[in-house]
Amino acid sequence: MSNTMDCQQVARRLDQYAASELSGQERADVHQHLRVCADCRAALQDVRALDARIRALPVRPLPDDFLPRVHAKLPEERPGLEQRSTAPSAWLSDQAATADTFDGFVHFTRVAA
Amino acid sequence: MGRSDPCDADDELLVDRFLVGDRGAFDALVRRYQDPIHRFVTWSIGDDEADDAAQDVFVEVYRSLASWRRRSTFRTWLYGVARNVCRNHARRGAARSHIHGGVDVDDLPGASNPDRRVAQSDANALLLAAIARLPPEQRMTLMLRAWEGLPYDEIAVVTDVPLGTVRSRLHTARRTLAAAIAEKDDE
Repeated sequence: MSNTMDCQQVARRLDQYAASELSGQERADVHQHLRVCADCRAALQDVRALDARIRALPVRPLPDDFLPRVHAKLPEERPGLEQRSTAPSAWLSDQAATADTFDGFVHFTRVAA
Repeated sequence: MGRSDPCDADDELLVDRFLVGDRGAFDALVRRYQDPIHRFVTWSIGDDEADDAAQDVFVEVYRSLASWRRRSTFRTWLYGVARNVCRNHARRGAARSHIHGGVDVDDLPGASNPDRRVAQSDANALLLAAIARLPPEQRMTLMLRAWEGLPYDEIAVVTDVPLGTVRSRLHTARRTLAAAIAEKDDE
């Protein structure tokens, strides 16, 4: 992207800019824009202030018995453990070689209540 | 926390130990992520079902970790599982209580605690109400960023949308919240 970003384009990248998540030309373009645009500099401060307010909101505490409750819901058997435990290294290599989808979604099954 | 964070390497080691039968490694993963996952779930579906849903996230991890192919960090995968569990709980809750999309402000974090609620400032109450009115996908994206600190590319994977959509959702959510705050200030 060239250094002709307008305020709307910059606004969508301010947060990433502040967190050093932009690279290369994008970062340079936002940096250049901020040097000359007071409105966007103010907008950056607004983003930071809003996120700080969100982080300051009350948090509902985790129940003390959270882990025991998880344990109580776990199945007796963990599917496939025996096969993997016989050759974990080989299994991991196979998985790494064939992985091509973001899993966890495709294999997701509803957890019984 | 980016992908080079030492926590990522520790996660992988714990996963490896878990996969060869070390139950303690699973408990360590739960302890490491129980607070952020509980928070994420609470913000996604409200207080009422948060405890149950957060537990279900880790049960699902226990069941399906063997199928994790390590194309993302464990944390990214975990939040993806949490997102799906929230969807299912929300769907079940909507069918039961006719909630469409959002959550009641009374169900958001802290609202069920009377003492905390009394102590809560008007500004916090206003912000909570505005967050509660956000569309679920905007609220989830905002919380992943503002509270959990996930980088945009990781949020894109967790929420299964392009990076540009993450940017748009965050920008729109923040504008909505800022407008709600400004409107109150003008009154």
